[in-house]
Amino acid sequence: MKFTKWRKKVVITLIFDRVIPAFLEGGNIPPSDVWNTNLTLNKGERYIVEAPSGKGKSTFLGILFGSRRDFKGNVSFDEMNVASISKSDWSAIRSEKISMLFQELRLFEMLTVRENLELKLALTNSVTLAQAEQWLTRLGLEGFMDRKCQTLSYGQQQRVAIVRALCQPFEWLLLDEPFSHLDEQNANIALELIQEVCSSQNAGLIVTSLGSVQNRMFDRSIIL
Amino acid sequence: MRKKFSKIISGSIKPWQIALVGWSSFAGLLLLWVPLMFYFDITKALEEKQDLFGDQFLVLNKRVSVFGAFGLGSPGFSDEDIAGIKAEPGVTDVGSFTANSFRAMAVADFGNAGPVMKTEMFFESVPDRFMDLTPRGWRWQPEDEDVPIIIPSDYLALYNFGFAPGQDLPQISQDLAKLSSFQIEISNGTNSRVIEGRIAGFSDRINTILAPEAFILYANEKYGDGSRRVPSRIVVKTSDSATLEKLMVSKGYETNKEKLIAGKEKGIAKNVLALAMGFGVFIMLLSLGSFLQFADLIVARNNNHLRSLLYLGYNHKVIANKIFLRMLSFVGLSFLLALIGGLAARSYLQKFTAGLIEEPSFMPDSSAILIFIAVLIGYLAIAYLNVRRQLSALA
Repeated sequence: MKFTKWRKKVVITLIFDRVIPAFLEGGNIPPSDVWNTNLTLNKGERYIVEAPSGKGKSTFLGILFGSRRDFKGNVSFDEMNVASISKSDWSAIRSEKISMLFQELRLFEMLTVRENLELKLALTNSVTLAQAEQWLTRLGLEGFMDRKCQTLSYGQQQRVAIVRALCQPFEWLLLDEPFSHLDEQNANIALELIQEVCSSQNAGLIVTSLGSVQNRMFDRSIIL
Repeated sequence: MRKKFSKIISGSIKPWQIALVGWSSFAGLLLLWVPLMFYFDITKALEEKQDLFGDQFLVLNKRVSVFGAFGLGSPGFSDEDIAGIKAEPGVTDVGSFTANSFRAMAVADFGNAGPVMKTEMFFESVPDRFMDLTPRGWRWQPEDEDVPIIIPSDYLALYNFGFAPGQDLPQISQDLAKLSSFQIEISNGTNSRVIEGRIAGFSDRINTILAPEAFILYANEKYGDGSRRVPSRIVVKTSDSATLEKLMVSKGYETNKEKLIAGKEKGIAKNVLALAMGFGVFIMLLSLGSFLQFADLIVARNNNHLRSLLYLGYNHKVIANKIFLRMLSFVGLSFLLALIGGLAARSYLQKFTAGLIEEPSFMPDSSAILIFIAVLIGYLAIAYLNVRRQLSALA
């Protein structure tokens, strides 16, 4: 299928077909829901990825986000093999189809919170700055808009990064250890917001490690 | 976006790094720009006389010897002689002079302005491709009522500065001389024809009275004595006058020495300018290298931030454009300074080249400007493609 045609479609089913990441190659591959088997993730469903560290949680999300290409096997979005997606098309996917929160946040620390959000908003204008500011307030960061990110604590930065990840249209939201530096109360508020936005966009959700948060809302857990 | 982008990029670059890149691109461009302008200035100045770097035209004759005076020895170039010259390296073409074998008398009547002059005349012709100018109407046909001739500029100088002042005669400019006409009577004793002659031009290259080849061939056929003479002079087109000079010494040929020396001087000027431009190109390449390294540095230092932009959904081409524009803002000023500095240096140095360039103009030759622009575009294109390639590798 041509990318331009596919881009107009709203449904993305994520399909893993006997994928082996580079770090598992050659060795004995332990039983897993993802590696060296078939896995289909349906849009609109919510998945929690569970595994001890070092089992490739970030690799799993990186493959779906196009930032990791060191694997064997096939990964497809609907009928489209990700190997056939050009670099320019990946940028379209990242601003319109799949949003990701990185473990390392990837905020621009020399810029203010406002500027960080504006950089994301400028791509699609699907969310207003006022809306984003309201989400920040909900996460307890009222009046932080003009603070430089490097002056914020890691937990505060994590919440800014969560809001930034919501500032675009998406079919899938990938969150890599989103609450690692949040206390239980803040993590619950954040998860509530994330679920809300995902529901409104009818988007699928993949989260690695909920930390202290216990949540029964996930449709399925994936064991790596 | 632009402001945020420069905030992301700028923090990683030190002012001295920008200054260094700015300085090297300024120096490289200036050292190329100034010799380039002079190259075309000098070429243009000398083109009017003779091509600076092109071929040289030399008129050869055999040395007139004592034997020649007694009618011994051959004064002309045989076919073997000509073949020998053609075989010399650097010689691209050889043409023979064809002399008249008919009798020719010129009659000039200046009316009240001067005396009636009547003189025996001679003509020669060379193939048109050896002439430094071919005036209008040079293509002659037997039914034409006049015949254009070209005389050496030296003849007019001889008249204007030698003959005319001594005889209290007015001086004649080239334009005025072209307006005058005279009769030429050609005959073989029994038949004759009078034809109008007009001076069509003056030549620096060929030291004889030139008529169209078609005219000489026609008149030799119809009014000539039937003899075929070997040419006493030949014109040689060569790109290497030094080799030809050796041949001339060994065979006893002669030419205008001054032209030979001028050829050598031009050769030296050519080498000096080529050297200066080569140096400019060398510095330019060094500066291109530092410019490319600068781009590498920016991308390497900002690797993580650039990845973040890519993961936000920015297209790598868009980011490459932003980086390139940012770099351009660093070196744009030095490009401009090199352009203006070069023009200033040229108008200052023109004092010293007054002998070579008689009428300096402020505007450089359009070819120099075009090459300068082409070099600049090439320079920036390479820099741009480099940034694009790096961002593509990152994406």
